[in-house]
Amino acid sequence: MQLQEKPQLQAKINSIFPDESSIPVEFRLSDPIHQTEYLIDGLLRHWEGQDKKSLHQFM
Amino acid sequence: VKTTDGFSQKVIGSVPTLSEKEALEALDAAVVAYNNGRGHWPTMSVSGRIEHIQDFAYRMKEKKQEVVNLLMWEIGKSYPDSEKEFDRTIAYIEDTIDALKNLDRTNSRFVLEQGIIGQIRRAPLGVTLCLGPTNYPLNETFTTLIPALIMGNTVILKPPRLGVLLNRPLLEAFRDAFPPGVVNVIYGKGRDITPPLMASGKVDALAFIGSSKAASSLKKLHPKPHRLRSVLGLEAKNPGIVLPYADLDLAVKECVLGTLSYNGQRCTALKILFVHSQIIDVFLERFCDAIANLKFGMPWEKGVTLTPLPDIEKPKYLTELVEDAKHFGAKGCQ
Repeated sequence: MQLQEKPQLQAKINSIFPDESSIPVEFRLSDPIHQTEYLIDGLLRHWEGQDKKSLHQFM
Repeated sequence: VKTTDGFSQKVIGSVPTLSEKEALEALDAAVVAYNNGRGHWPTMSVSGRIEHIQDFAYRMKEKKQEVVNLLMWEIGKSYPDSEKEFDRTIAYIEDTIDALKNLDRTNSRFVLEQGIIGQIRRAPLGVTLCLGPTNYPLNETFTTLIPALIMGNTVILKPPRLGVLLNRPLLEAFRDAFPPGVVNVIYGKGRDITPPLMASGKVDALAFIGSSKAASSLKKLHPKPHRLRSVLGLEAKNPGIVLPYADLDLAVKECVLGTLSYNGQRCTALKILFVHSQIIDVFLERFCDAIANLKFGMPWEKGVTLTPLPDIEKPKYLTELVEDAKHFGAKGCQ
Protein backbone atom coordinates (compact mmCIF):
# COMPACT_ATOMS: atom_id res chain seq x y z
CA MET A 1 0.00 0.00 0.00
CA GLN A 2 2.80 2.38 0.93
CA LEU A 3 4.57 1.63 -2.31
CA GLN A 4 1.55 2.71 -4.31
CA GLU A 5 1.30 5.95 -2.39
CA LYS A 6 4.87 7.04 -2.90
CA PRO A 7 4.65 8.42 -6.45
CA GLN A 8 1.52 10.32 -5.46
CA LEU A 9 3.30 11.82 -2.49
CA GLN A 10 6.19 12.90 -4.70
CA ALA A 11 3.73 14.56 -7.10
CA LYS A 12 2.09 16.36 -4.21
CA ILE A 13 5.47 17.63 -3.05
CA ASN A 14 6.41 18.80 -6.54
CA SER A 15 3.24 20.81 -6.87
CA ILE A 16 3.53 22.46 -3.47
CA PHE A 17 5.07 25.76 -4.56
CA PRO A 18 2.59 28.01 -6.34
CA ASP A 19 3.27 30.56 -9.01
CA GLU A 20 2.60 34.14 -8.03
CA SER A 21 -0.63 34.38 -10.01
CA SER A 22 -2.22 31.37 -8.32
CA ILE A 23 -2.03 32.97 -4.87
CA PRO A 24 -5.55 34.17 -3.98
CA VAL A 25 -5.80 37.96 -4.31
CA GLU A 26 -6.81 38.53 -0.69
CA PHE A 27 -3.59 36.90 0.56
CA ARG A 28 -1.19 38.42 -1.95
CA LEU A 29 1.52 40.81 -0.82
CA SER A 30 1.80 43.34 -3.59
CA ASP A 31 5.12 44.91 -2.63
CA PRO A 32 7.79 43.81 -0.20
CA ILE A 33 7.51 45.72 3.08
CA HIS A 34 10.81 47.48 3.49
CA GLN A 35 10.40 48.91 6.92
CA THR A 36 12.72 51.65 8.13
CA GLU A 37 10.65 52.84 11.13
CA TYR A 38 11.20 52.10 14.78
CA LEU A 39 9.61 53.67 17.85
CA ILE A 40 11.54 55.53 20.54
CA ASP A 41 10.10 58.03 23.01
CA GLY A 42 6.82 58.42 21.16
CA LEU A 43 8.44 59.18 17.81
CA LEU A 44 8.67 57.01 14.72
CA ARG A 45 12.27 57.31 13.68
CA HIS A 46 13.64 56.32 10.33
CA TRP A 47 16.62 54.10 10.15
CA GLU A 48 19.26 55.68 7.97
CA GLY A 49 21.06 52.49 7.05
CA GLN A 50 21.47 52.67 3.29
CA ASP A 51 23.02 49.33 2.62
CA LYS A 52 20.22 46.94 1.78
CA LYS A 53 22.38 43.96 2.54
CA SER A 54 22.38 44.85 6.19
CA LEU A 55 18.62 44.78 6.21
CA HIS A 56 17.23 41.54 7.44
CA GLN A 57 15.26 39.92 4.65
CA PHE A 58 12.47 37.42 5.01
CA MET A 59 11.77 34.90 2.33
CA VAL B 1 7.27 30.69 -5.89
CA LYS B 2 7.32 29.06 -9.29
CA THR B 3 8.58 31.22 -12.13
CA THR B 4 9.46 30.54 -15.73
CA ASP B 5 13.08 30.05 -14.60
CA GLY B 6 12.15 27.45 -12.00
CA PHE B 7 11.70 28.18 -8.31
CA SER B 8 12.71 31.45 -6.74
CA GLN B 9 12.47 32.91 -3.26
CA LYS B 10 10.09 35.77 -2.71
CA VAL B 11 11.30 38.63 -0.54
CA ILE B 12 8.44 39.76 1.66
CA GLY B 13 10.18 42.60 3.43
CA SER B 14 12.98 43.90 5.57
CA VAL B 15 13.39 45.66 8.91
CA PRO B 16 16.06 47.94 10.37
CA THR B 17 19.14 46.38 11.95
CA LEU B 18 19.60 48.81 14.81
CA SER B 19 22.78 49.09 16.81
CA GLU B 20 23.59 49.34 20.50
CA LYS B 21 23.27 53.14 20.23
CA GLU B 22 19.57 53.09 19.28
CA ALA B 23 18.86 50.32 21.80
CA LEU B 24 20.31 52.47 24.60
CA GLU B 25 18.28 55.46 23.39
CA ALA B 26 15.14 53.34 23.68
CA LEU B 27 16.24 52.34 27.18
CA ASP B 28 16.79 55.97 28.19
CA ALA B 29 13.32 56.90 26.91
CA ALA B 30 11.78 54.11 29.04
CA VAL B 31 13.86 55.13 32.09
CA VAL B 32 12.78 58.78 31.76
CA ALA B 33 9.11 57.84 31.26
CA TYR B 34 9.23 55.66 34.38
CA ASN B 35 11.24 58.20 36.37
CA ASN B 36 11.77 55.84 39.32
CA GLY B 37 8.03 55.29 39.58
CA ARG B 38 7.23 59.01 39.65
CA GLY B 39 6.57 59.35 35.92
CA HIS B 40 3.24 60.24 34.36
CA TRP B 41 2.47 56.62 33.35
CA PRO B 42 3.31 54.76 36.61
CA THR B 43 1.44 57.37 38.69
CA MET B 44 -1.64 57.44 36.44
CA SER B 45 -4.88 56.05 37.90
CA VAL B 46 -5.83 52.46 37.06
CA SER B 47 -8.83 53.69 35.07
CA GLY B 48 -6.59 56.08 33.15
CA ARG B 49 -4.22 53.30 32.11
CA ILE B 50 -7.15 51.05 31.19
CA GLU B 51 -8.42 53.76 28.84
CA HIS B 52 -5.05 53.89 27.07
CA ILE B 53 -4.99 50.08 26.69
CA GLN B 54 -8.56 50.07 25.36
CA ASP B 55 -7.64 52.78 22.89
CA PHE B 56 -4.71 50.65 21.75
CA ALA B 57 -6.89 47.52 21.36
CA TYR B 58 -9.31 49.55 19.24
CA ARG B 59 -6.51 50.78 16.98
CA MET B 60 -5.05 47.29 16.81
CA LYS B 61 -8.35 45.76 15.66
CA GLU B 62 -8.37 48.17 12.71
CA LYS B 63 -5.09 46.61 11.55
CA LYS B 64 -6.27 43.02 11.83
CA GLN B 65 -6.12 42.02 8.16
CA GLU B 66 -2.63 43.42 7.67
CA VAL B 67 -1.25 41.83 10.85
CA VAL B 68 -2.83 38.43 10.17
CA ASN B 69 -1.56 38.36 6.60
CA LEU B 70 1.99 39.25 7.65
CA LEU B 71 1.92 36.66 10.41
CA MET B 72 0.91 34.05 7.86
CA TRP B 73 3.54 35.07 5.32
CA GLU B 74 6.42 35.47 7.68
CA ILE B 75 6.20 32.39 9.89
CA GLY B 76 4.12 30.15 7.62
CA LYS B 77 1.24 29.76 10.06
CA SER B 78 -2.02 28.72 8.39
CA TYR B 79 -4.52 31.52 7.80
CA PRO B 80 -7.12 30.26 10.32
CA ASP B 81 -4.41 29.80 12.97
CA SER B 82 -2.94 33.24 12.26
CA GLU B 83 -6.40 34.74 12.60
CA LYS B 84 -6.94 32.77 15.82
CA GLU B 85 -3.67 34.13 17.19
CA PHE B 86 -4.83 37.69 16.53
CA ASP B 87 -8.31 37.16 18.02
CA ARG B 88 -6.90 35.43 21.08
CA THR B 89 -4.57 38.39 21.61
CA ILE B 90 -7.47 40.84 21.55
CA ALA B 91 -9.38 38.59 24.00
CA TYR B 92 -6.28 38.47 26.18
CA ILE B 93 -6.13 42.27 26.33
CA GLU B 94 -9.79 42.38 27.43
CA ASP B 95 -9.22 39.64 30.03
CA THR B 96 -6.18 41.49 31.38
CA ILE B 97 -8.27 44.62 31.84
CA ASP B 98 -10.89 42.59 33.75
CA ALA B 99 -8.19 40.96 35.86
CA LEU B 100 -6.80 44.36 36.82
CA LYS B 101 -10.27 45.68 37.71
CA ASN B 102 -10.76 42.65 39.99
CA LEU B 103 -7.33 43.09 41.53
CA ASP B 104 -8.02 46.75 42.12
CA ARG B 105 -11.34 45.94 43.84
CA THR B 106 -9.79 43.25 46.06
CA ASN B 107 -6.88 45.52 46.92
CA SER B 108 -9.15 48.32 48.05
CA ARG B 109 -10.24 46.19 51.02
CA PHE B 110 -8.43 46.24 54.33
CA VAL B 111 -6.89 43.07 55.70
CA LEU B 112 -6.83 42.36 59.44
CA GLU B 113 -3.89 40.14 60.36
CA GLN B 114 -2.67 39.57 63.93
CA GLY B 115 -4.25 42.76 65.14
CA ILE B 116 -2.72 44.82 62.33
CA ILE B 117 -4.86 46.48 59.72
CA GLY B 118 -3.23 46.56 56.31
CA GLN B 119 -3.98 47.36 52.73
CA ILE B 120 -2.05 45.54 50.03
CA ARG B 121 -1.45 47.41 46.79
CA ARG B 122 0.48 46.24 43.75
CA ALA B 123 3.05 48.57 42.27
CA PRO B 124 4.84 48.51 38.92
CA LEU B 125 8.32 46.99 38.73
CA GLY B 126 9.95 49.54 36.45
CA VAL B 127 11.56 49.40 33.04
CA THR B 128 10.60 46.11 31.40
CA LEU B 129 12.31 44.40 28.49
CA CYS B 130 9.80 42.25 26.55
CA LEU B 131 11.14 39.52 24.29
CA GLY B 132 8.66 37.19 22.61
CA PRO B 133 9.13 33.98 20.60
CA THR B 134 8.91 33.20 16.88
CA ASN B 135 6.14 30.61 17.09
CA TYR B 136 3.55 32.99 18.59
CA PRO B 137 5.22 36.34 17.89
CA LEU B 138 2.05 38.33 18.50
CA ASN B 139 0.18 36.45 21.20
CA GLU B 140 3.05 35.41 23.43
CA THR B 141 4.77 38.77 23.18
CA PHE B 142 1.56 40.50 24.19
CA THR B 143 1.04 38.20 27.18
CA THR B 144 4.06 39.92 28.70
CA LEU B 145 3.61 43.36 27.15
CA ILE B 146 0.00 44.06 28.11
CA PRO B 147 0.22 43.13 31.83
CA ALA B 148 3.49 45.07 32.10
CA LEU B 149 1.90 48.18 30.59
CA ILE B 150 -1.38 48.03 32.46
CA MET B 151 0.45 47.85 35.80
CA GLY B 152 2.35 51.06 35.00
CA ASN B 153 5.70 49.73 33.78
CA THR B 154 7.45 51.25 30.79
CA VAL B 155 8.51 48.87 28.06
CA ILE B 156 11.17 48.15 25.49
CA LEU B 157 9.82 45.64 22.99
CA LYS B 158 12.16 43.70 20.76
CA PRO B 159 10.40 41.29 18.42
CA PRO B 160 11.94 37.85 17.78
CA ARG B 161 14.19 37.12 14.80
CA LEU B 162 11.22 35.86 12.77
CA GLY B 163 7.76 37.30 13.29
CA VAL B 164 8.85 40.93 13.05
CA LEU B 165 6.99 42.52 10.16
CA LEU B 166 3.60 42.11 11.83
CA ASN B 167 4.67 44.82 14.29
CA ARG B 168 4.91 47.39 11.52
CA PRO B 169 1.15 48.09 11.27
CA LEU B 170 1.03 48.40 15.07
CA LEU B 171 3.78 51.01 15.48
CA GLU B 172 1.43 53.96 14.96
CA ALA B 173 -1.06 52.42 17.39
CA PHE B 174 1.68 52.19 20.05
CA ARG B 175 2.75 55.75 19.31
CA ASP B 176 -0.75 57.23 19.42
CA ALA B 177 -2.25 55.20 22.28
CA PHE B 178 0.48 55.68 24.88
CA PRO B 179 2.44 58.64 26.30
CA PRO B 180 5.99 59.05 24.88
CA GLY B 181 8.59 56.59 26.16
CA VAL B 182 6.03 54.13 27.57
CA VAL B 183 6.34 51.72 24.62
CA ASN B 184 9.56 51.63 22.61
CA VAL B 185 9.98 49.17 19.75
CA ILE B 186 13.43 48.27 18.44
CA TYR B 187 14.68 45.83 15.82
CA GLY B 188 17.97 44.16 15.20
CA LYS B 189 20.16 41.23 16.05
CA GLY B 190 19.37 40.04 19.55
CA ARG B 191 23.00 39.31 20.33
CA ASP B 192 24.00 42.90 19.43
CA ILE B 193 21.29 44.94 21.08
CA THR B 194 19.95 42.94 24.03
CA PRO B 195 23.19 42.40 26.03
CA PRO B 196 23.97 46.15 26.34
CA LEU B 197 20.46 46.73 27.66
CA MET B 198 20.86 44.09 30.35
CA ALA B 199 24.43 45.17 31.19
CA SER B 200 23.26 48.75 31.79
CA GLY B 201 21.55 47.65 35.00
CA LYS B 202 18.60 49.87 34.09
CA VAL B 203 16.26 47.02 33.13
CA ASP B 204 14.14 46.23 36.21
CA ALA B 205 12.12 43.35 34.76
CA LEU B 206 12.92 40.83 32.05
CA ALA B 207 9.91 39.27 30.34
CA PHE B 208 11.22 36.56 28.07
CA ILE B 209 9.72 33.61 26.23
CA GLY B 210 12.27 31.36 24.59
CA SER B 211 15.07 28.97 25.53
CA SER B 212 16.42 28.55 29.05
CA LYS B 213 19.95 28.95 27.71
CA ALA B 214 19.21 32.41 26.33
CA ALA B 215 17.33 33.38 29.52
CA SER B 216 20.28 32.37 31.71
CA SER B 217 22.82 34.29 29.67
CA LEU B 218 20.63 37.42 29.66
CA LYS B 219 20.04 37.32 33.41
CA LYS B 220 23.76 36.93 34.11
CA LEU B 221 24.51 40.17 32.27
CA HIS B 222 22.60 42.27 34.78
CA PRO B 223 25.10 43.91 37.20
CA LYS B 224 22.66 43.42 40.11
CA PRO B 225 20.91 40.12 39.36
CA HIS B 226 19.17 40.11 42.76
CA ARG B 227 17.29 43.25 41.75
CA LEU B 228 16.17 41.94 38.39
CA ARG B 229 12.65 40.51 38.29
CA SER B 230 12.13 37.83 35.65
CA VAL B 231 8.95 36.60 34.03
CA LEU B 232 9.98 33.62 31.93
CA GLY B 233 8.29 31.06 29.70
CA LEU B 234 10.91 28.52 28.68
CA GLU B 235 11.03 25.40 26.55
CA ALA B 236 8.99 22.34 27.44
CA LYS B 237 9.22 18.60 26.81
CA ASN B 238 5.75 17.15 27.05
CA PRO B 239 5.18 13.40 26.83
CA GLY B 240 1.92 11.74 25.76
CA ILE B 241 1.15 8.36 27.34
CA VAL B 242 -1.20 5.89 25.66
CA LEU B 243 -2.42 3.05 27.88
CA PRO B 244 -3.50 -0.39 26.57
CA TYR B 245 -7.22 0.21 27.22
CA ALA B 246 -7.29 3.66 25.54
CA ASP B 247 -9.99 4.57 23.02
CA LEU B 248 -7.69 4.35 20.01
CA ASP B 249 -9.65 6.65 17.69
CA LEU B 250 -9.57 9.37 20.29
CA ALA B 251 -5.95 8.70 21.27
CA VAL B 252 -4.76 8.88 17.66
CA LYS B 253 -6.72 12.05 17.02
CA GLU B 254 -5.37 13.74 20.14
CA CYS B 255 -1.81 12.59 19.47
CA VAL B 256 -1.88 13.95 15.90
CA LEU B 257 -3.28 17.24 17.13
CA GLY B 258 -0.87 17.39 20.06
CA THR B 259 2.24 16.61 18.08
CA LEU B 260 1.54 18.41 14.81
CA SER B 261 -0.60 21.52 15.34
CA TYR B 262 1.33 24.32 13.64
CA ASN B 263 3.86 21.70 12.52
CA GLY B 264 4.62 20.91 16.16
CA GLN B 265 6.22 24.33 16.66
CA ARG B 266 4.58 24.91 20.02
CA CYS B 267 6.04 24.77 23.53
CA THR B 268 2.93 22.81 24.56
CA ALA B 269 3.29 20.30 21.69
CA LEU B 270 3.64 16.61 22.52
CA LYS B 271 7.34 15.90 21.93
CA ILE B 272 7.39 12.19 22.70
CA LEU B 273 4.70 9.50 22.85
CA PHE B 274 4.89 6.48 25.14
CA VAL B 275 2.56 3.80 23.82
CA HIS B 276 1.91 0.53 25.65
CA SER B 277 3.59 -2.44 23.93
CA GLN B 278 0.26 -4.33 23.71
CA ILE B 279 -1.21 -1.78 21.32
CA ILE B 280 1.87 -0.26 19.70
CA ASP B 281 1.42 -1.97 16.32
CA VAL B 282 -2.19 -1.00 15.79
CA PHE B 283 -1.57 2.47 17.22
CA LEU B 284 1.37 3.09 14.88
CA GLU B 285 -0.59 1.93 11.86
CA ARG B 286 -3.49 4.27 12.58
CA PHE B 287 -1.21 7.12 13.63
CA CYS B 288 0.77 6.89 10.36
CA ASP B 289 -2.46 6.69 8.35
CA ALA B 290 -3.78 9.78 10.08
CA ILE B 291 -0.55 11.69 9.40
CA ALA B 292 -0.50 10.57 5.75
CA ASN B 293 -3.95 12.13 5.39
CA LEU B 294 -2.93 15.51 6.76
CA LYS B 295 -2.99 18.13 4.05
CA PHE B 296 0.24 19.99 3.52
CA GLY B 297 0.69 23.12 1.48
CA MET B 298 0.78 26.90 1.57
CA PRO B 299 -0.69 28.53 4.69
CA TRP B 300 -3.59 30.17 2.81
CA GLU B 301 -4.87 26.87 1.35
CA LYS B 302 -8.14 25.66 2.83
CA GLY B 303 -7.88 22.75 5.30
CA VAL B 304 -4.08 22.79 5.36
CA THR B 305 -2.39 21.37 8.48
CA LEU B 306 1.30 21.18 7.62
CA THR B 307 2.81 24.41 6.35
CA PRO B 308 6.28 25.68 5.33
CA LEU B 309 8.91 26.30 8.01
CA PRO B 310 9.98 29.94 8.35
CA ASP B 311 13.66 29.28 8.84
CA ILE B 312 15.69 28.26 5.81
CA GLU B 313 18.13 26.28 8.00
CA LYS B 314 15.42 24.21 9.71
CA PRO B 315 14.86 21.42 7.13
CA LYS B 316 18.58 20.62 7.25
CA TYR B 317 18.57 20.55 11.04
CA LEU B 318 15.48 18.31 11.14
CA THR B 319 17.03 15.91 8.62
CA GLU B 320 20.10 15.71 10.84
CA LEU B 321 17.90 14.82 13.80
CA VAL B 322 16.26 12.01 11.81
CA GLU B 323 19.66 10.71 10.73
CA ASP B 324 20.94 10.90 14.28
CA ALA B 325 17.93 8.96 15.56
CA LYS B 326 18.43 6.30 12.86
CA HIS B 327 22.07 6.04 13.88
CA PHE B 328 20.87 5.05 17.35
CA GLY B 329 18.52 2.42 15.97
CA ALA B 330 15.32 4.36 15.34
CA LYS B 331 13.03 3.24 12.52
CA GLY B 332 10.93 5.54 10.39
CA CYS B 333 7.37 4.51 9.65
CA GLN B 334 6.24 7.22 7.23
